[in-house]
Amino acid sequence: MDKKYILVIEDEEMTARLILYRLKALGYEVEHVRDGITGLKTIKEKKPDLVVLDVMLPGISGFEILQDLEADKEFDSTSIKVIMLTSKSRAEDVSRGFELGAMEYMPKPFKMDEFILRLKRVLKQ
Amino acid sequence: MIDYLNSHAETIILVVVLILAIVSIIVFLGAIYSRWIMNLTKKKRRNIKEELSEYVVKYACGDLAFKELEKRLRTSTDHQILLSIINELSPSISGTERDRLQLLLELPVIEKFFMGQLKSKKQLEKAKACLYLSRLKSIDSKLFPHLLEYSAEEYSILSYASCMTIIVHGDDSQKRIALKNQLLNENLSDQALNDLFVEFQDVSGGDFTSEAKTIMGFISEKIYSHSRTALLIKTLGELNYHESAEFLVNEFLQLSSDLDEPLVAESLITYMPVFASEDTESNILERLHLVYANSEFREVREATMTALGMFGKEESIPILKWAMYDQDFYVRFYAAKSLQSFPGILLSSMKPETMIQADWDDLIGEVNSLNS
Repeated sequence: MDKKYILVIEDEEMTARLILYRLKALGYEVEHVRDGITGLKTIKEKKPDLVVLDVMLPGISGFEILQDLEADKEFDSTSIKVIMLTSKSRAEDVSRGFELGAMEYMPKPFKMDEFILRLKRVLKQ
Repeated sequence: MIDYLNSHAETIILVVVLILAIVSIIVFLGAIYSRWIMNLTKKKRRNIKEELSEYVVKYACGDLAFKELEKRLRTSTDHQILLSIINELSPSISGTERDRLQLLLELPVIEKFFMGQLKSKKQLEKAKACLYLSRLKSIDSKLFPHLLEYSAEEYSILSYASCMTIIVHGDDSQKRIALKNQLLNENLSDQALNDLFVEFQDVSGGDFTSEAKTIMGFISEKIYSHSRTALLIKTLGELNYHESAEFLVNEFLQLSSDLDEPLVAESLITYMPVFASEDTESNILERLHLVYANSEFREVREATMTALGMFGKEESIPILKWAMYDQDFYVRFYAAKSLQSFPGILLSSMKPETMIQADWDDLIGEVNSLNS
């Protein structure tokens, strides 16, 4: 089975480190970028199997990345799967994320085990 | 003397130039050296953070023993960096990983370091130690006299940090003293004070009885500045506690009509529609119509127009229509918004004669955007 490639777009250094450590231990190929602009560029260039996307990012926000991908004919929700990760747990943010194509939503603070379970489920879809 | 200067002028100039050159070189080299030291320190801290981050991540995930991490912590810089890593990571995670981080905070070597910092001569270090204590599950009761003393310091970072620790670990009387010190500390921002009251509510576990009583006590003292009193009213209003309803209504009804400061009136008016009872409603409305709708302060008129909309009494409609002629855009805006909430009122047909069409379109556009 091919190694799944996961891109983590997260500006909080320690949170990203923790996610990367767990995902690497599970055998995924992972990459981390800290800002929205580089994140969007990396998605388009490398087409990851799954993106872990923070909403509040320097440069452009997670929502803006999703909007850009939605407008791009090369991408759809089946070609790139997205899990939104953010401190915002307001209902409107959750629904906005889903409307723009996110497949899962993890409000911070989150349990790592629960995050991994959701990530595996999304990858299987 | 003059002869000597004349005959040695060239030598003197040469010596002065040489001295200036040497001083310049020393200053230049000193600047380069201090910059080099600064970069070296930064690099060293970055390397330590890099190394410790790996340790903490492994430890949080259960792949590194507590003892192994403890062995790695050797210097005070290590302790400070470890705390900053924990502070950075804690808000994002919960469950087992977070519990493990909490254990790290209680490492004897970390605790010993911050207990030492609590007696430091530098106030910022004391403040950091206080914030560390606020993160622990419990603290030694012998620390409270020091914390209470710090909460009365003028240096706002220290008074804030010690008050935060007292709110987390102290009893009701200690919390009251610490909060009172903050209310009196003019160096502390309203935002910081607001954060303390948020924590004050959070630690109560959902029963706000004693919190509401404490805040009502502060308001009744009437010794704090207008902005502090307004903040106390807002905090109490947001608790939405039954006991504070009657108190806030009485405060409003007893408020002097000759306002010299709008903040207190504005904050009380905001909560009147929520806390008014059948018995007090007519008195409140009368004061809103006769006194506050005509206030010289824009903020008070705005709050009044919003409150009248929330009360939704037909007797307020003429006042709201009249406020559509107000000189301030947002008073007109809130009056229009409130008018629109009355059944049978067609806002689009109520353009004041004195208002130009472009302003009217702006106003209607803003009101409609709020409803869409």
